[in-house]
Amino acid sequence: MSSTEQGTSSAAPAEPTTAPESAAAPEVPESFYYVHGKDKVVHKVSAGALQHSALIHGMISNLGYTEEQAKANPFPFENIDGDILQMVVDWCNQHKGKPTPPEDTNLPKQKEKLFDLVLAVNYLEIKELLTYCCKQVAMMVKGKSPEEIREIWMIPTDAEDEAAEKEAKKRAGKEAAGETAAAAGDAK
Amino acid sequence: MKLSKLPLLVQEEVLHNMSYTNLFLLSFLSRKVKKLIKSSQMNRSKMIDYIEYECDSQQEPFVQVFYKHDLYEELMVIAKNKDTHNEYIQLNVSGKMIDIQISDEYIKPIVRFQIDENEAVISSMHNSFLEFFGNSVEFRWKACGYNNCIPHLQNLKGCIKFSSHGANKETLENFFSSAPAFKWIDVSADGKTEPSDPESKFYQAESIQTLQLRNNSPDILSHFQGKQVVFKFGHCNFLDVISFVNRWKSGEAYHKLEYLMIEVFWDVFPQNEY
Repeated sequence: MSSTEQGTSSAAPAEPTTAPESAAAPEVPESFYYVHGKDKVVHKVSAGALQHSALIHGMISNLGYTEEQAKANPFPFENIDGDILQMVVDWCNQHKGKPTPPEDTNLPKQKEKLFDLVLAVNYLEIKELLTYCCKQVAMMVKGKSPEEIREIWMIPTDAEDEAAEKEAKKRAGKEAAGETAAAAGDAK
Repeated sequence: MKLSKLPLLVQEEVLHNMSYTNLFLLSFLSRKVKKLIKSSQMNRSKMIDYIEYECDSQQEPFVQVFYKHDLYEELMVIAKNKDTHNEYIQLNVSGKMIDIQISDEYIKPIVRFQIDENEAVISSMHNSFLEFFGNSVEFRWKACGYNNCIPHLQNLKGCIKFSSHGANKETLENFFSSAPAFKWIDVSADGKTEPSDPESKFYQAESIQTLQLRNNSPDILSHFQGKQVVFKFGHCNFLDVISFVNRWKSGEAYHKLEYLMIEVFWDVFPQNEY
């Protein structure tokens, strides 16, 4: 279901392959938009699929791009890894115009990938996919002991929290002192 | 994956998708996490109706969270220590080190206690539940028969379903005199076996349902002090029932009574005879 052409630069997007459409094609030609992640690989995605993302949907509505303008100006998501954006695009294509099922079993099982996906989906404001991802994150600790949960989610102890807080305060104090000194220097 | 690196709303959504069992275990990890759980689960905790210890004859309670819309979720089991090869983990629960068994063999964690530590373990667990769920949550102890006592714990009320047929009256009296207040009692009575003390906690139960096939047990009719009562009679001494209703209607007794239901199976309630 991917609509990606690998290695295409965001500055000059080549013609990406189009995602296969459903059997009942809409009568009105569908508009397409282009997105890329950190790896600059451009993904062509239909407006219907992008409706899942409140962020992109809002951008599209505000911009009123023509097809040509959309192709020339892919939406850059430099904070999202290419493979993660690919997953998001695939999910949006698969669930285009369909009611979302109560469970989604195709989410990554590796915790770092899932973590990155959660951050991306939260940023792109894809509510249903975020719910699935959060369920999956919650499932990671089902039936685990507290210490196993600590390890999986890297939860600091009270002592570590306190030390981190002290450190943050110290850093903030130093920064404030630095700013005061700089301001005094400027005044002179 | 570092949970704290996720945006706060996402962390809250993750917690929202966790069972209370996992949230309870998670709360032991740090004060910060405990605070996050409390703040994020406020709406969920408002939906809790009560927490029940459902006891079996071995005095090994299942702990279950009941919601206001009739759903419930199992929290854990508190059971005797067994010589198993499974390793227990230890948690400091309200100042007491407690063994907890978490294994694939069981769906829920099992809190294990040595026989002589039964009361202390249940008390510590109860205190930690109060801390976790809040002091306003009601707890119920659903007893299995009247041979084992119900512990006296904060916010805890007793519940019991039993048949007084062939019951040892002294054991029954002791059970009710040593118990905390009762939420409900469901008794299948056979003859007069209720406690003789009119101030017994039996009569102070918030709700009583009694099934009496052959004879009325007029003491319930005389001494009941709760809010709801359901009488199910086989044969019925109507004078007792009429006296009960009259005393209630006149305001002479049963001041807390809000709900009364009477079913008579075999006799026909006489119309206009009394």
